[in-house]
Amino acid sequence: MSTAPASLSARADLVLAPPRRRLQPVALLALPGAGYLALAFAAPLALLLMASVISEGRPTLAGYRTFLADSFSWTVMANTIRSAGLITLICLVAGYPAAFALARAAGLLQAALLAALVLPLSVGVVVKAFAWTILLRSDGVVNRALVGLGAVDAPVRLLFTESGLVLGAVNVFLPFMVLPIFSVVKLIDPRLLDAAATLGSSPLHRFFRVTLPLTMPGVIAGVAFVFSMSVSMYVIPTLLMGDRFKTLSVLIARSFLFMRDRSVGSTASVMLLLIAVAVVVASALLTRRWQPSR
Amino acid sequence: MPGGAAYLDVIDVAKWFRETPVIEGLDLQVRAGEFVSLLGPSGCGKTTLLRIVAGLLAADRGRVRLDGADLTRVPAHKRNVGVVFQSYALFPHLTVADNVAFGLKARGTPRAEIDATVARVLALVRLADHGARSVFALSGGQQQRIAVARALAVRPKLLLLDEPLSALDRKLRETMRMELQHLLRDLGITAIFVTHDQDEALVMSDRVAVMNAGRIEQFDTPATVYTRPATPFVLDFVGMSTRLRGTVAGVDGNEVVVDTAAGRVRAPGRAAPGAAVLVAVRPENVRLGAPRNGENALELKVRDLVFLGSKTFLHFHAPDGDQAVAELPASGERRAPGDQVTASFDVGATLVYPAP
Repeated sequence: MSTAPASLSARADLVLAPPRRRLQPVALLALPGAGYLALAFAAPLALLLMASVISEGRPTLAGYRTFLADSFSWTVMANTIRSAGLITLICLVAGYPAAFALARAAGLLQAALLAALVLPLSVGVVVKAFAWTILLRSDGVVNRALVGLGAVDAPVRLLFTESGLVLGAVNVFLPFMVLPIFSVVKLIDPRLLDAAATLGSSPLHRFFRVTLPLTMPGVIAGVAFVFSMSVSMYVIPTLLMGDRFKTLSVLIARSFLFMRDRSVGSTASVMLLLIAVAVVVASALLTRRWQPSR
Repeated sequence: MPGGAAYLDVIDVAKWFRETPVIEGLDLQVRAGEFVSLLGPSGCGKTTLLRIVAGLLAADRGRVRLDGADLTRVPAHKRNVGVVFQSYALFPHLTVADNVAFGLKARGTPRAEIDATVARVLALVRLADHGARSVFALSGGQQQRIAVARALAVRPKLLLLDEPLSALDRKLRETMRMELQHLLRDLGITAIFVTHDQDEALVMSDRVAVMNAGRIEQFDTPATVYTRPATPFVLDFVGMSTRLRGTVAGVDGNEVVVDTAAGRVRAPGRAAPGAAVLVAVRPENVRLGAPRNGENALELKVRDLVFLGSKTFLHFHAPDGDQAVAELPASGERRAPGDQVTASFDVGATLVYPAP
């Protein structure tokens, strides 16, 4: 299995480029990773795809037909995409300025802020989701703060609502928005903004014509990360929403674990995969469009 | 100010970074259409001054006036002061033409006018057919020209250039120097050119302001700065010179008589007897041979010959802290290290300064 990529690339070289070296030695560096992915990811994925188009030993699209004809499926997909979109949007709005603050922070402060951003990732998502169930209770910290500030008269229902889900998920996924934007902001030459200013560009014009385009690759990467992670999250909605609100991953788990319905499970999985792949492909295309051509 | 009113007037500007003064009470007056160089070693505050004039940095004290208007509190984007940065700072996400058009678009100039101006300015820097390219596809010299074109496209009232040639290799730098000078002169634009390269400053500018430690030590024409340096710093920073420390032995009319380790030297000037002074002379004013009609003369021993192509410098043995150098004419008798020679120079060409 693990020799497959090497022999493949050797054959490709034979066909494509006779004058060049047969096997790029650099390609060997990708071998361990490619082998692992082939075994642990590509193979199960192929099985899953097959399960979605084979029923009783015969190839059929009946699974998809049934799935797409059911309005419940569309509600689930809408729920999934809407909550993921909302989480991504809030992460972007909160993370974009944070990435600038992080990039402009000096020395030790920056190291401390980076640690504060990355360390919570080592706390398991289950722990974090449980923590949020405590915070979001009607007598939890969030409600007490809201009441204390006079924002609401009585505790509002947050747990088992979409708002609570979004709040908890933003907390978990925010670093994946901040870090890619931060890495791009750090590389922007501050002289570019000086140059824009001396050319008569107002602060707002500078932001939209210089800063935003130059940070776009980071924004696209962050959006792709957060969206694909929120669209497929399972633990957070299970703990913060329970059964009231179905997302694709909750539906998939239920189909496989409780209903033993491989057809619905695999079909929903493929739909989820399609959404995620669409986001990744779109972001790759967008990044190429925004990348300065060299 | 003699010779016309100031177009740019920098008045008593000061700037500190934390506790360290970078510029201390600096004044600078530039006439309309003038090409002025700020010359000084790195860290002398010349780039800081440039950023203050551009509005990219706020001064802690003082005022900046341009063309009759007080700009002190005006933000950079409302000053109409163009800047060419050392790193060029071209926008990597825009094509060459869009870089040049940037300032015009920021001002909301009509599309047709933008296109015409971009074409005209690109032609001016001889890159008319490069508009559609990425800035990464350009060589260093071409990037430099685009940076100039971008700054000129908005017709700035003043153009500031921050070491724009220092990233280029030597040969290209010399070509670009002439090209830039001709371009800016033809446009009649008022320009301030920051450099640490004395050749650039002397060749290109109408006047040179020599800066040191946050002050302007001398502001005059290149010829005066070279032949009559106002301070020992200017003498040292601009060009080569013989520099001898000494004590004033006496005063004779308009001349002082100074005893140095190399011998007795007369120089036009005034100083109290017994004062510690520095006497100096430029190498091209030094002649090898016996003194004629009252010239200064020193007995010196040759240490090295430095061949520079068009000319040769003779360096002599001198006590620590002193320096003695003469320019050897192309057609003259050859000298070798160790030769004992008499170096003569006119009293009128001798400079004298209080000891630094």
